[in-house]
Amino acid sequence: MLEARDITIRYGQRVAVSNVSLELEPGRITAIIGPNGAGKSTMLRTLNGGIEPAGGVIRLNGKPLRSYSRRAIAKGIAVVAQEAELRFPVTVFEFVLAGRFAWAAAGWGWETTLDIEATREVLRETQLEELSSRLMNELAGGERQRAVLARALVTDAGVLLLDEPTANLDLAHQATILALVRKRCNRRQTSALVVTHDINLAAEFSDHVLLMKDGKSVAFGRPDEVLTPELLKEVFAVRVLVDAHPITGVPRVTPVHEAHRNLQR
Amino acid sequence: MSTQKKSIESGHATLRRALAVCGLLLVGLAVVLVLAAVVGSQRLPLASSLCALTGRSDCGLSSEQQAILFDIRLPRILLAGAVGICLATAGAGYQALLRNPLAEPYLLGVSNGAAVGTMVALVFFGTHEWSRPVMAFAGALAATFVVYRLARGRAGATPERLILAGVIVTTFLSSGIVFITTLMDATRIRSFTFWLLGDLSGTTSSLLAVTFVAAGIGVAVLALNARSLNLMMLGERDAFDLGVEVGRVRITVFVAASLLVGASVASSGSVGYVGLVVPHLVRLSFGSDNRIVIAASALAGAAFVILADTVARTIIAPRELPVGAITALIGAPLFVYLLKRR
Repeated sequence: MLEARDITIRYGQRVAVSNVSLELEPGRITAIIGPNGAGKSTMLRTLNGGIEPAGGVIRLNGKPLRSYSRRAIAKGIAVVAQEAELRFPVTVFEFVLAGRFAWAAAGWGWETTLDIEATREVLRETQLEELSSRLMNELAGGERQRAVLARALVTDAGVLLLDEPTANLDLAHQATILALVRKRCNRRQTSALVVTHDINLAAEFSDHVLLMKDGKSVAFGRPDEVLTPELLKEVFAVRVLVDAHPITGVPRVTPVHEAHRNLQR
Repeated sequence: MSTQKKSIESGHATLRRALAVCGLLLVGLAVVLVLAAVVGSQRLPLASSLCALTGRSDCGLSSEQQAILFDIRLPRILLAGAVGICLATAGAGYQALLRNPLAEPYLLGVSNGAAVGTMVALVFFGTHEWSRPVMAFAGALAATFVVYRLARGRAGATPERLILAGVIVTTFLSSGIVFITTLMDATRIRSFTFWLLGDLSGTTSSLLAVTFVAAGIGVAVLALNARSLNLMMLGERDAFDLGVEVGRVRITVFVAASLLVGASVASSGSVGYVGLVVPHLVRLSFGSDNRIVIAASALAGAAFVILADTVARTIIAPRELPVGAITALIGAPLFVYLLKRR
C-alpha cells in the first residue's frame, strides 16, 4: 500500500524528520505519537506529496509516489487535515462531493451518477444524510469533522492519512470518528495513519504505534510493545503509569505529574 | 432501483440548473439590451427599433434614428456588455482563487495596473492601437502578482490582508497614473479623468472586437477551471489533497483574469465594483458552484453594466456621467455590507 523508506525532511538548514521508515498495511491503523515538534504532521504531509523529502523514497502500491499525477495520488491517498475556514456558503453535500474530484476524467466538467451515488453512500455511512442540504457553517463541531472525514472516505482511497482528526471534539465524537475509520479499514482493507496527541485513543484504535521525538523514530510496534512507561518517559519526559484498561485490556496511560503530587502533599 | 433512478436524475441536476439559470439570465439580458437601445437623450420608438434590430431596413425609423441606434447606441451597448462580462467573471475568478468574497479587480489594484499599462501605451506607442490592450494585460498581470505576493503571509492570505495589499498597490499605481497624466497636454487630461472612472463612449470597432475576443478566451479558461476553483474555494491545501494541481490552476486563473481586466480597462477605463456586485448577487441567488457562478456572472455582468451605463447617460441627459460612478454608487455600500457581515 503505502511505504516510506528512510525519509529525511529539511526546512532550510533545520532537519524536521530524519531517517524515518514506515509501512502502512491493508486494514490496519497506525498511529504516530510524539511531543509537539516531533515531526509527526510533517511526516504525514510528506506521505501524500505535500512536502518533498530531502532523502528517502515513498512508494504507493509499489511505485514511487513521484511517478503519479496529482489526481492519481488523490485517488490513492485521502487526507483528513485540520479544517480550513470556509468563507463561502457550501452545503454538506457539495462539500463531500468535492472528494470525487480525482475521479473525473479531466479537471473540469460535471460529476457523474457514480459520484453522486458514492456521495450518498458515504453520507449514510457517516450518518450525515439528514444534514446533506444544510450549510457547512451551520454544523456543530462534531458534525463538521464527520463531513471532513466523509469527504476523505468518498475518494475510495486505499490509504487514509488523518492529522489530529479528533482535536477539539468531545468524548463521544472522538470515538465516532475513529470508529468510522476502523469500520472502513475492516471493510475495505483500507490502511490508515493517524497523527494524534491522545495516547489512550491511539492505544484503543490503532494496530501499530510509531513513537517519534525530534524528527526521529524512537519505537515502532503494537501498542502494548510501544506504550511502555520507559519509552513514554524517554519521549515525553513525563513519568507515566501504564496499566491495562479494565474493559478492553489495551494499555491505559496515565501521566503522573510531580507538580500535582507536590500540591497534594 | 428507485434510488438509482433518483441518483441519475440528480446527477444531471446541477447541469440542468446551470442551463436554466443561463436561459433565465439570457432573457433578462435581451430585455436590458432592448431597453438600453431605445432609452436615451432621444427616445426611439420601441416597435420600430426592435424591428430594425432584427436586421430589416423598412421599419419606419428616420435615417437620424437609424444612425443613433446603430452607430451610437449599439456599439456602446456591446462594449458595456463585453466590459460587464470581463469584470464580473474576473471578479468571480479572483474570489474563488483567493478565497475572498471581497476580491475584485478594482479593489485589488489590478484595474489600476491595467490603466497604467494602457497609459504607457498611449504615451509611448500612441500610433499602435493594439499596444493598448497588450500593455493593459501586462499591467494587470503584474499588479495581480504583486498583490498576491504582498497578501500572502505566513498563515496564508487573510481577506483583510489582501484588501490592504490592494490598497497599497492601488495608491502606488495611482501616483504613477498622475505622473503619466502630467506628461500629457491639457486638452487630453479631461477625457483622461473620465476614462479613469470608466467611460464607454470612446471606443473603436477594433478595440470592441479585441475586448470580445479576450472576454471569450478568458471566460472559457475560467469555465474550464471552475471545478478546480470549487475545491480551491474550500482551501488550497484541501484542494491539493483532493487532487487539484494548485500551482497550475492559480497561474491559469491569474492570467485569464488579468486578460479579462486588461481588455476591459483598455477599452473603457476602470469601471469599479462590477466584479464585486455581480458574483455576489449570483452566489446569493444560485449558490457557490463556480460552474454556475462564472457562466451566470458573465450574463448578469453584461446586463449590469449595460443597465448602469444607460442610467449614466440618461440621468442628467444630455450630459453624461462616467459609468464607473454609477457602479461605484451601487458597489461601495455593498462592500461595506459584506465587510460588516463577516
